[in-house]
Amino acid sequence: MSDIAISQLLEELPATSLTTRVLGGLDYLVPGEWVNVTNFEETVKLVTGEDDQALIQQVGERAIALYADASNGYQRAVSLYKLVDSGSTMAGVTALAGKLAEDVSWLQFLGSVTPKSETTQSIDAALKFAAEIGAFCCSNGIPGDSVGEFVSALTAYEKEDKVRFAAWIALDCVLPLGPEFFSLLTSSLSGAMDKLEASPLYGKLHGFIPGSGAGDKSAFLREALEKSSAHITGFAQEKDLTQAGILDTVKGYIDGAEGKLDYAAAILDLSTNVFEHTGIQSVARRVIKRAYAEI
Amino acid sequence: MSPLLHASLQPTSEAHVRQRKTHALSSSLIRPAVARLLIAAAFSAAASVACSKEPTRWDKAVETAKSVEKADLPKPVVAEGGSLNKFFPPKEFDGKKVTFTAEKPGAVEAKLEEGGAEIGTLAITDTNGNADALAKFDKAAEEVSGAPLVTQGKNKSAALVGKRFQVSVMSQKLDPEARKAILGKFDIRGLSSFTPPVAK
Repeated sequence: MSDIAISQLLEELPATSLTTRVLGGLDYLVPGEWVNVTNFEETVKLVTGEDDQALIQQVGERAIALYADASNGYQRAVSLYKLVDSGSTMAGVTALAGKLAEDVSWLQFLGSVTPKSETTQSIDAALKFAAEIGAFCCSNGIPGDSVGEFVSALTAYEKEDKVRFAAWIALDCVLPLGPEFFSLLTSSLSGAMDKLEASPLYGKLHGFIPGSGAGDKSAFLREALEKSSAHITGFAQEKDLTQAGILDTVKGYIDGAEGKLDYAAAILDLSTNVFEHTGIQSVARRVIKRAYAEI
Repeated sequence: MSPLLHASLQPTSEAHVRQRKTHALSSSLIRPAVARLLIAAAFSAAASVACSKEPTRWDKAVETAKSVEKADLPKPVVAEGGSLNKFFPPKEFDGKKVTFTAEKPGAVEAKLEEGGAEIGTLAITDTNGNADALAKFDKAAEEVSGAPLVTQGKNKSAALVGKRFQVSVMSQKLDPEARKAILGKFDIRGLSSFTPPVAK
């Protein structure tokens, strides 16, 4: 098993960090859904609504045991969420290197070797979508009896899941890619699948995407994205998400990037760990919920 | 000041994140000038990390879980999760909506919504290998569709079906009577005589 229990992972999360401040800033997109709870007992109480100490102990112990059993997949989900933020996606790095090259004359040699930021960013966003699906399958299995039902589970996201998905749409899709983000994402999952498959992150997560071969898996991702399109684009429209609006929300956290969209998206990608932070909270909630049903 | 350097001068937790990412930057792009700048800033912030660990009420459970995993005991045989889906209430009933949210070997969950808001969680779990879960039904004073029914804590009602499957309704919004009524919407008769395929 992993040496670190889910209770410890949760309690090691920071009470305040740039990540929590950025997520707090995005609260207007999903009002009240996310509260940064980093205490395991508190999470058990929140998920169950129980206050009997013996029952809370029983639920917590079962949740710890469920997480500790590697065959349940919860540890893999956490490792995927961590990988997303570990630099494996690299869009922030390459985009920033590219932007530095544009603005700083002595770094211009970088510009010739880094991909165009839009392509990189759309692959990055698609990769994060794939990672979300992979982590979801690890922690929740494949609920329902069809891809449609699977997507219903995905779009029924709440709490930490919902804020992570909202942050992905805002910071990884709309901010770097603009209003045409969805078609860029779709193209990445069709035309640039080879680039996704070449990334170390995809190499680690593709085994958890439903399907028997590479073709099946990429088809599943495309179908999941297509079936989520109304949810994703509807969310962006309903919340009136624009590059300028998001930049306005986050600029307070990233001094030095005023008015510079590419800088903002790249710096946020490099400086925050939204997937890891909320992913650990999601998995904690998931095992606690299951433990409550099982005791 | 470069925006990236500025962003690096944040409290410790961000330093961890950036330290990992700047490592990726240095190893993949091999741009010494940029990488050195980033790593220096990240290390200076990380230097202030201090770890202290106080005992918690979960320590014993963590140790037990570790030794259980180390012992690598055979896992109990449980039902294939998806085979239990058909015993849940209909996708829509009485103005409520049921959406499956998790399916693991021996454990399936669904979200119960009303008016677009979540009002509870429905679950069927296999009690094979979970004697504590079974034991509580010995004291059941009620029943639903012939299955013994118990209330656990404030927010959970559960029935034992076919002496094996725990069918639960958990809700912070519904009272025990309402939870019992929803338990009655499961196909308890069908589940009580079900021989499930074994989860792989």
